[in-house]
Amino acid sequence: MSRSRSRSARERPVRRRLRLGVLALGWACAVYASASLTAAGSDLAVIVNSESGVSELSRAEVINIFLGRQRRLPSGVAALTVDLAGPDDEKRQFYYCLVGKEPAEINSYWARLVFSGRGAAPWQAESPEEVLDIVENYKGAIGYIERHRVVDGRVKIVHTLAQ
Amino acid sequence: MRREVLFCLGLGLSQAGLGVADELRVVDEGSLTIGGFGTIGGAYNANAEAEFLRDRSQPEGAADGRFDLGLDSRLGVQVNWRPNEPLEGVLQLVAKRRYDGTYRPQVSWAFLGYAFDPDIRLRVGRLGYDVYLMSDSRDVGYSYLWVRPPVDYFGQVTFSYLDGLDLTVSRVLGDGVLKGKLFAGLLNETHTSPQGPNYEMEGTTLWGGYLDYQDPHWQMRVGVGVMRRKHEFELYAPVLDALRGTGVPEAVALADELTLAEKSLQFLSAGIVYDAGPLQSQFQLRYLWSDTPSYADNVAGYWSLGYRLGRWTPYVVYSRIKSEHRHLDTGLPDSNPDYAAINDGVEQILQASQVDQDTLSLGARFDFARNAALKLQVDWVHSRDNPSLLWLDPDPDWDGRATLFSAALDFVF
Repeated sequence: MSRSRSRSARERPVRRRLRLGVLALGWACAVYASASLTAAGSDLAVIVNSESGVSELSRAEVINIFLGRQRRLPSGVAALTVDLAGPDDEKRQFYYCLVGKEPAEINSYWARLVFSGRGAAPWQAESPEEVLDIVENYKGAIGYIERHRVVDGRVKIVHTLAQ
Repeated sequence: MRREVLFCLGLGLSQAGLGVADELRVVDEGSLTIGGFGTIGGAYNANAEAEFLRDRSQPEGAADGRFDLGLDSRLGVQVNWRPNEPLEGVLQLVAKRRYDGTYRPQVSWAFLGYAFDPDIRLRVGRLGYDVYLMSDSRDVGYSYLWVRPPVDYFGQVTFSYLDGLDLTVSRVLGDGVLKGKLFAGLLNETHTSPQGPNYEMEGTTLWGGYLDYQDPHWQMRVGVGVMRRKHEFELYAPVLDALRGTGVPEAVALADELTLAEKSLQFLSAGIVYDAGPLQSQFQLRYLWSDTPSYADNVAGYWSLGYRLGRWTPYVVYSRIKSEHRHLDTGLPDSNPDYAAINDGVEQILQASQVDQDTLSLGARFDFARNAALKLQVDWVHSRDNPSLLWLDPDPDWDGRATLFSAALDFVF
């Protein structure tokens, strides 16, 4: 515990810079609707459990699963979606790059489904570690984190959203 | 506990179902979540000649240079109970202006849902009704662009829930998902009527279904519904009795035709949504036909277009409803004063459900905070025929034109 605290203290300036970078990227993504215009940055990797029986997902499948329209992964296992709603704005980046929508629009979309009793929004994870942890432990779990954070063997990348 | 609940449900679920339950554990197993939504909003109507209503369930509306906050304001609280993945329970209470003028909360949903597998869901209890796109989220202002759903389309849809069951089956097809739904149940609400007394929906049956296809950009839904009323409208009874009392065969036959009780109303609806990044467009069309001339056939539709610019989303909506005129001959000569009164009564019944109105709305939604949005909207309404269907107490010499200014603050929590 103390080790991780001291490590996070040491990493704080780096993390802050990283956060700023991601924010800037998100902003750039928002300004230039076309992904090809944005600077190279960290891509988001859509990850699933190694036992899920899924090796690749199309963009349409990722959309259908994260927007609660398709409730299973293509292998048949029930999907458990996880959003990365941490401070680094990955959630904004993810939905902006996936469907061109702002967080408010995604909220509004889910308000319609939840309050008409037609489903539950994705689990809101606070950190990439939490996403990894859930995806590693639940067969149907599907989430996204920055590509460089993916630890081989723990989870499987099934789609990459390029900046 | 799990077994007891399933037993109480009486759904006859197999042990296989419970096996699936264990496999589909969710992160927050056994959780109870509470959320809610609300709107503080209303409209300003400078016109003193007619009161503007959001829908026909409201006993008072905006008029006379007053900003009426009761029109659109509402508060909803929802509890979701999920003891395990396939089973869920939902209870929702909504407080809004009711037919009796109070804001007493009503139970809008109270159902148990069971997913036989993730693609086949059964719900039993008090349910939302969604043959029309959005009709089960009309109270959740935060979920749509406008201040309120288009009145020309939804103003007549006076029921918001169904006591019964529905079954939804979905399948992946191409890049999208095809969904089919069947529902059946009873309507138990009360709504106001243009002529005064309230109409009791109690005992009215509703059944139907729809097919829906949604891919990353498009959504299409085609649905049908059949509603069969149980009760006669009390105000019509004396006219019907008088018709029968004449003993004239044509008039007696007409009385049977004009009866509302045990008569069906059918509707066919089609909706298309196009959604691509900042652009949102929605079109819905509905045709309603009735087994009795006491409720005129009508066609209604709207088209909405919005485009997000930063945190603002300006939008435009055009909506229209138009009924078909029918003139019926009672076979009773007007020369007899008693008969003339009956003929007049029949004419009033036929006129009561006539409507011809369109509305052009311009507005903007401002997503100023997480989970809250502000909306401003202007509506130009033109009622060409029988404004009393969608307005309250219109002056007989009103030209049918009104401009409304609306504002709403929508939030979810």
